Amino acid sequence: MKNNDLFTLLCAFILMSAGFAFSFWPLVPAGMALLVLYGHTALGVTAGLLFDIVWGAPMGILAFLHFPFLLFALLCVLIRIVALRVILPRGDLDAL
Amino acid sequence: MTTISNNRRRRKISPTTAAFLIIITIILVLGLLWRDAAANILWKILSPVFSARNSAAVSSVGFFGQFKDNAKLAEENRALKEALASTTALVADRNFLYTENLSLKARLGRLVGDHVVLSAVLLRSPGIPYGTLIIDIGTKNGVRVGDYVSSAGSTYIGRVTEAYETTSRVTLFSAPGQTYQGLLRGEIPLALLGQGSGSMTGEVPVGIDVSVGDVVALPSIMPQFVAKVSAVVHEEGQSFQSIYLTLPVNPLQLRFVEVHTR
Repeated sequence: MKNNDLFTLLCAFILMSAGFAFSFWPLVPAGMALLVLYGHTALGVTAGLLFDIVWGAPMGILAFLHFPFLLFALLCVLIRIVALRVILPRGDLDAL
Repeated sequence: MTTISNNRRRRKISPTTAAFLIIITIILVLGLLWRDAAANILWKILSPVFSARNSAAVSSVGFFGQFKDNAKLAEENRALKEALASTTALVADRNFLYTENLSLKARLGRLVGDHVVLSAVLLRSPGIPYGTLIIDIGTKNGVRVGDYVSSAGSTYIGRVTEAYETTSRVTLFSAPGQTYQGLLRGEIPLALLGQGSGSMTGEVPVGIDVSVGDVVALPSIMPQFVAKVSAVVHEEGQSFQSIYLTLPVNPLQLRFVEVHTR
């Protein structure tokens, strides 16, 4: 594991656990986004699913989503794919 | 010159992407089927962790409270004593009337009174999205889906929407999209719509006199207060006036709730 990977994992873990432990949920999707956008797709998606199970389904107009955090993680996967293939020049692939 | 046919040019889905999509589909299907069972297991593990966290938070508040400015504390103490003196008489009056209310109903053949179980709040907004609470009692303690939850006595705040073995999920009346029938001042029917963050909205015809501070109760033989009017908006030419309501207590500060089990 590279140092960069370790740092990303550590930051994401701190963000998610802080959001959960210190009662501020927006930190959780921030941590998930960090995980997925830096290539730890499986971890990010698993975290999304776990938080969806723990927090339950949304209510009101977003009720149809059922698994909003899992879907958010998948959206991040899509953003990463688009960013790598379309937006970023080929030279920057290695940088990521 | 070599040409590439359209079929060859078309990019196929790589095996990794296909596997990923299949796994996600399986996860979604399994999640939909066994969400409650999984939540039950997860909350069994998390419930003691959150209880410990809440206890630690209370202890730390006590510890850091020692370092507060003494003059400020004395001032706060004086203000609290004054507030307590003015509300003690009101509470005594309320308790007397409540007992009288119950005994009158009992004389008329309506024996009312639920079995109430006290519970600690493990998670509340903004620790959890969607306007719900997680409390530390579940089916083991007789909690069932649909049980009413009050902050204390007859001040109702929501209902149990999911009951696990050791924890339960309470949906506040103010959760987004929740609709309830209520009675304004105990007599005027009103549909309440949750807006989130402890607020609700409703509409009544213009001719009805509504003022800030009016209470809304659930239609029941017992007084079950659910909301207090915080603002009334009437636009010229409209036949209805919008009323904005808040829960009687601040859901962000709830530490304990009572579950009225049936």
